[in-house]
Amino acid sequence: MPATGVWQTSFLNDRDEDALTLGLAAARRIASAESKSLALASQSLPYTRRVQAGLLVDALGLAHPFVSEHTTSARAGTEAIGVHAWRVAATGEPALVVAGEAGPRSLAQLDFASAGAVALQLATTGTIAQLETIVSASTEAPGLEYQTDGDDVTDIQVAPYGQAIYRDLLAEALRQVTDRTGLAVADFARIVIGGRELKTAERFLTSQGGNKFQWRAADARLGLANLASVGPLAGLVAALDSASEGDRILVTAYGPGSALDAIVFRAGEGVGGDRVMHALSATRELQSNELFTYLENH
Amino acid sequence: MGANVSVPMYRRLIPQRLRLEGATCANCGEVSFPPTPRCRNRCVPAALEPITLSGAATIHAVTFVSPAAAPPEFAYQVEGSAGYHVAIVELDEGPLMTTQLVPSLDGSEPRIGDRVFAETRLLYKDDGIRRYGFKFARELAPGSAPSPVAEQAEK
Repeated sequence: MPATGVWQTSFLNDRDEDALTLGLAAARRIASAESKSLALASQSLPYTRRVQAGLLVDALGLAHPFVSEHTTSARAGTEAIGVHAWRVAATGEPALVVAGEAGPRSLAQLDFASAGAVALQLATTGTIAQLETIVSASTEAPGLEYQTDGDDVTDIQVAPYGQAIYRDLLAEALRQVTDRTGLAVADFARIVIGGRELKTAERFLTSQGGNKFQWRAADARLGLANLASVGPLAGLVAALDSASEGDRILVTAYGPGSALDAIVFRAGEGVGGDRVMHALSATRELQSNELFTYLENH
Repeated sequence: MGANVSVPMYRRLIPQRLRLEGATCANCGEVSFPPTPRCRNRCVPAALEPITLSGAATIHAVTFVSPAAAPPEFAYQVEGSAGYHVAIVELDEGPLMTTQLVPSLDGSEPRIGDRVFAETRLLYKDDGIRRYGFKFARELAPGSAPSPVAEQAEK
């Protein structure tokens, strides 16, 4: 990837922002007219049913790229990378992956999220990190974080059940990573834990030889669990901010229902720069009255 | 009608609304935004070419619109807030344009002479249909480039 862009990773600054405007602001920092495909990832797009990537296509001046939208879970960002990485490798044409989240969606705890956006460009030349492998594990897991039209997000809230599903998928994904790359948990300089099962992931990774220094730095400052589909990509950017050339970074993303992605990156030249932390310092939190007004009107 | 524009007009104006495309005269270099069909200096023959503006500007005049005075299209935006600033900004390329200002992160008031930069924002909803366009903000994240639109324009 030649560059990364992160605009803001906190509550919305204003009521005139949404997942698209945030994603566009991030994409403008790196977009080039050579991008031949565009992926838009978000769990909080303004419309429930409509193609919405067209706004980014026109605003960025892209010439009719292949477009995909990924919306069903917090793994939308890694799903987008997975879909377009193959196309980039096959065609040599750069792809733009944009993830944007519009912040708090309801007062139900399950559906409370921060706002932010990340844009990444996937390419075969001029990159700062090499994508080494993508694996995924999935299974049917009824009752986990589901939402039907007009309702809030619901969950059967049987914690051991959700944790077991997550653990099984993470174990399978890590097994696939080891099979393909020979890498074990301890070999990664940074691990990004995407999704809400942070404690379950920490316990499991520790049992596999990992330690908290691999995953705590980015999450503690970003609150990645609340960034939904942006979380794993923001974690990747934060990891690249502090990586050294040659470091391996493992990015995981989990979507209840369930599926879990794991992507291995190797840092190249040009890493570093504190992009994420610079962006964080420019945000402010919504005040309570602003939050309630926002939720009433969305 | 207020701020609402028809869907056909909105689509025709996408290059301006989403990419800040103006026009420049190949004869004299005069820049117009929105793009005009003729050169403002009346160059003959007309030789207008599209140009993507940088989005960087300076506040030329500024005023505050209270919630009571806000057009109905912006009622949602001002609900629960004190109102919003409207400014005439002078783009670095020369044209003046009227725009809303994004509230600053530190809550300070905008002043004539402040530097501002274009951002795409939701302008209003027309029967639930979102209309996007540019507003101008007075500061960016530390370490970031002067204007995301400028970065894109340079590519």
